[in-house]
Amino acid sequence: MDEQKLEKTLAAMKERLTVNTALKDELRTVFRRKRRRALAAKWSLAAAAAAFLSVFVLNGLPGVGLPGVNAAALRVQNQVSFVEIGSGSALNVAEHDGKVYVPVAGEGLFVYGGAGFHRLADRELSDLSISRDGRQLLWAAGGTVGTYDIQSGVWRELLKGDGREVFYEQPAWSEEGRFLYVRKLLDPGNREERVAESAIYEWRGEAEPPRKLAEGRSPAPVPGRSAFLYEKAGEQGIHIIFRETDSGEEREIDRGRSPSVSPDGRYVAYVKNDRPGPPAGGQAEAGRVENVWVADTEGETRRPVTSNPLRPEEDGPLDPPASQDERPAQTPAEEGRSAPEQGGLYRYASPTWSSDSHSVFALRSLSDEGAKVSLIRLDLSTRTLTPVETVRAFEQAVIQRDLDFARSLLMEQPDFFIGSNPHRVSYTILGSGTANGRPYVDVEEYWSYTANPYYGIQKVRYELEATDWGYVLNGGELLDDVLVTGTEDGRLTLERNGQEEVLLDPGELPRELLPPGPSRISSLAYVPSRNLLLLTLQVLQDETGGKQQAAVKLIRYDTKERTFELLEERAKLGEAANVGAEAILVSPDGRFAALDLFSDDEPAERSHILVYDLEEKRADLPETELTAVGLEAVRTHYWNGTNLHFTVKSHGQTMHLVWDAVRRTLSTP
Amino acid sequence: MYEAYFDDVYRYVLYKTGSKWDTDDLVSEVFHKAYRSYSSAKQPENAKAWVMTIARHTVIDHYRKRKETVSADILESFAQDFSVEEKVEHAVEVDCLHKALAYLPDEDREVMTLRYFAEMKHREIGAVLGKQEDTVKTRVSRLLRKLGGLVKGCLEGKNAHG
Repeated sequence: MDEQKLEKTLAAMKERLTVNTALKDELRTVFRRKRRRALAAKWSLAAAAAAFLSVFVLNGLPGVGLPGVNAAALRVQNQVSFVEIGSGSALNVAEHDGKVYVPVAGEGLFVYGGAGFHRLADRELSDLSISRDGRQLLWAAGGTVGTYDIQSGVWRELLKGDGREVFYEQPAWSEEGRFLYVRKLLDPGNREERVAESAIYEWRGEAEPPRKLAEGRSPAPVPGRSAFLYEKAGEQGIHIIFRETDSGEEREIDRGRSPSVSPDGRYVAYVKNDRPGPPAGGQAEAGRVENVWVADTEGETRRPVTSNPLRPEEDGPLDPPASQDERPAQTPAEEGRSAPEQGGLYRYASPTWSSDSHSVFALRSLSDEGAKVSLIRLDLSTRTLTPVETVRAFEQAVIQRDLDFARSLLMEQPDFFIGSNPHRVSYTILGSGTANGRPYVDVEEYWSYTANPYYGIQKVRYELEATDWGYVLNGGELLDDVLVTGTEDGRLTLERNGQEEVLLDPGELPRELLPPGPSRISSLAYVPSRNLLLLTLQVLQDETGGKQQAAVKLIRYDTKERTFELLEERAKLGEAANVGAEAILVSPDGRFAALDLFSDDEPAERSHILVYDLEEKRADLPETELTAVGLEAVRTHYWNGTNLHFTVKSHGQTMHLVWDAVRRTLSTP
Repeated sequence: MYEAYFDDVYRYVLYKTGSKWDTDDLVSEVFHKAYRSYSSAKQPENAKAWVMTIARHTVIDHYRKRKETVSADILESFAQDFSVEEKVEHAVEVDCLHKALAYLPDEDREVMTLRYFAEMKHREIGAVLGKQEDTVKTRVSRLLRKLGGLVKGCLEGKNAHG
């Protein structure tokens, strides 16, 4: 095909990319209406997002483990989404001493910890329970239950189903050498594999016959007691029942599913549908508004510890939570009972207590089919967050784009938009106090723009309001606004509260720092207190016949003395040449700089982080400390003090990790 | 700026994502970002390159969150509004062109997308991709030849089979 015809076909193809003129008109109206300053932008959230507000309160959870504290007194101190797993594929969670085990459908068993994550075994498992000493995993797969010795890697099958009629599943350690499990009998004559029986048994060693304990599923032994919780089907739906093993005495904890008892035996975490009466048939799942709840194992008090805003298509308010009925998906709704079609934005599954009883892990996914599953951790305490802690939680939630959690910290949820560029890369709490009888917290927030010379610093005063559920942010004031931007010809300009100052003129960069071929300033970071401007100079690949390859130079510029220093130069990443820099993030104290680097000679998404210590004049690659193999990408996220939060992608999963730049160690957030 | 570039931004994002739903969201995001930056930063020297850079990064971020390929409804939309005869002919050509574009390395496809669907000048593409204007010009010319060969091969293959 000749070029003329090709260009004609390209033009035809372009014309068939139809522009949505309705959207164009709608947005035009929005922008005409908008007359606001930068701070207002931060308090505004996309109109679409405003539809899914739910007042989740940072009520926290507790200091699980403190005597005499009931579940209703618990406060959520922090909510972290630290692993994103492939679509719909995470099946269960087990944790011991900071190591989290998750079986992933079609991938195998993964373990996540401070050194990243790796595949522990190829075997596909559906259920997991870890022994108190953290050495043995109880697992279920295809109707068979067995153990896996984590140290030796030895697999044992203890209860073998036939894969047709008899299935063993949901094993849960009760004490050393004993566990509870479910034996499920299917009716082979029924095409839909109807469950003929589902009963909980106790395994007491190979020498003793199993003991049947109850009809039901999802057993959760209560540590230190001869008792367990489980799911029991009733006329009103699925109930969570506390049962004394020996006497058979029972009491209802709540309606819900997937109970998990804390290792200290005080609390049970479970999933509960806050919305009554799911519609019948295929609408049932869509109408659910599920949350993770925590209750006392004595059943006295309970409370939700997650939020689940309605999906954006729906504008209606959430139905009253807590004491409403829950009906299982399989139960037809009562005739004539109306129920909304849209349910919660999220689905929750497999709540599991940490081995120290301070946190609950759970799997969270968007309700959309095929959505990715996130492993989240909820840190609980009896303490109410202070104003500074509340603002810190808000800052981190915004940076991590956890809008639901961020909104839960606001008194009102106005138009609030978080875009990908420019984006927040760090913050510093400057101080706190009281003005006009109200507490306030001053924060410096830092903004960057991917692969562009742009760095903003805004000093903001947030005012807080004490409520029954803790402090929430109720207003803010922009105190100072600094922005450094660069132009294509290399001029860097500082704008402060409307006043402009040229920091660097084109041609001011010393000749010895410049390559013979083309280059440009690709990103920057500014620390006014140190007169420090850090630049990445992108040496460009010369494609017009020259031999220059792409490389990155990290340059320090003293804005007061107007002096330059070459700190680091990277022409290769391992064996790969043509290196580019996508971003630079500097720690608030100006001591550390983190660079996102990539090579054109590597696969498109491959990326690396380099952390440079300006005091020690030393560069680290945190990925060298990771246990993960087959790394696909390592990317910066934000600085929290001298801790760099970053993500690691491997096996199609993305994990959030923290690099302590002072100690040069890795940990989970 | 909004009036001048909305259509180009929209088409660029639509081609990249292949989803009208995602495109509506992303284009809204692009102009929200542009609005915010525009009101706090200096007026960009090359406004189109600036707004397309925002669009490009927004799409990249989107892809990082979830990888997607061009969906079927977009492919179908390429074959709309032709007479029956034209439709068959154009549909085949467009289909082959689409495949040929998909065959290109990412950066080459990006150059062509910016050039032909976002209607950008060589200088503007250079500003977005960090390349010299001459480099972009040379590359576009080379890619046209390459695409022409690929489309020709594709059409011959289709004719041979059909």
